[in-house]
Amino acid sequence: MNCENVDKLISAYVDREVPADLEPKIRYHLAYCKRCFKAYSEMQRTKELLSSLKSHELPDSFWRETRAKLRRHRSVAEPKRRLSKLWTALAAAACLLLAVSVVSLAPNPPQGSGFVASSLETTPAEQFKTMSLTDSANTGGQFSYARSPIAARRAVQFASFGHEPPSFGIFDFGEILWANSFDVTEDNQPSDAETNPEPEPPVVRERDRQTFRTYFGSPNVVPAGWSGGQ
Amino acid sequence: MDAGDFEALVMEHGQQLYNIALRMTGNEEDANDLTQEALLRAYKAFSKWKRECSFSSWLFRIATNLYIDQVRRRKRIRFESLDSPIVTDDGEKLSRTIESDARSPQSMAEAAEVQEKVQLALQKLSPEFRMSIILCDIQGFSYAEISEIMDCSIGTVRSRIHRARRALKDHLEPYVSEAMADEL
Repeated sequence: MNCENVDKLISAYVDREVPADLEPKIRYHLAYCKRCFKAYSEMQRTKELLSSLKSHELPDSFWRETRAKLRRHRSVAEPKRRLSKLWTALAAAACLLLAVSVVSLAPNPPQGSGFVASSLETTPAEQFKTMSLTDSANTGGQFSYARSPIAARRAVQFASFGHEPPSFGIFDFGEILWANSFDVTEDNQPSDAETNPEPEPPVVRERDRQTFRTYFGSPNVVPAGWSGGQ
Repeated sequence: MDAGDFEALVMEHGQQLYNIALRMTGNEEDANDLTQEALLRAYKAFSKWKRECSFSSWLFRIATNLYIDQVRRRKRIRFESLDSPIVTDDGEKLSRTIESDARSPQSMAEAAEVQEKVQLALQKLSPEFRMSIILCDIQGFSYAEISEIMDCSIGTVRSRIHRARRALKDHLEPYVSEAMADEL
């Protein structure tokens, strides 16, 4: 270890930041080199002068002023965040509308056998009320679209005029929740929730599944918003 | 992590941040502003703190970058006399010196003089050198921690500290020599 090398490392040596294998070599050099030892002492003293600088307490008003600044920032930032959320919601709504439009423009299923599905609710009980399906095999190939239970019943009544009560099914996006025969010819008939608080498990006729498979490729998928009707 | 967590962390490190800012700027007004601005920026970016480094390192890095940006933007700071008072936008004159809280009148005067000279010597360094030596000698951070705070290599930290300390030694020659003479 010569003077030039020691000089480059002298500050790091003062800070105990030299590699462990170099430290004894520098110490040995400093023991016999007065010039390097003087440089080391000066660096050490300079460090001590800096370390002697007093720490200062925060001004009394500091936290009060800082909190006021943060509050001002929040009051400005919050409306911006709300506006951003509004734009996000609008964008999502526009995408949904576009998706529904695209699906509704899809080719109609073949006449003579098919289903009519309307959307949309989330809970099974609500789906029962608002999503209807008519089996065209029983309704003479008619398709209809309904947004409410009453409208669905009227559509089925119309479609099944003069025939046996048709099948009336409830569909979800991902799976068939219910597909069974109902007497839906009377508007004032008690709801399923009133007559049977615990809904029976879904019963899906194999024929319905087959027909679905024909239309949608999967027996368990109904496109959202697809009316399928005329 | 919410505003409550942020406040708890800030309360823990605010004092240290203020002292770093005080040594960087050299006066209490600017230190106050720098500290508050750094905290505001940290608050805005709090969700981006990834915990890859400690909160204090992250906070001090924000303050460092903020100060260096400010200095670069206001180049005039480099040409100001270090002996002249700071004149605010309102025309108010502020002293550059930081009050000392030493005890006896004589030691208070001596300590105040030394502290003032050290602070003035610090102000003569570039912002990067100044921050490196403040973090090392005043705040006691290791080279690894300083490299994290200043977002540079340990080699760069070592070089900056070495050069900064050598420059300070030259600026503080009388005090360094005096101390060495006392030791001999």
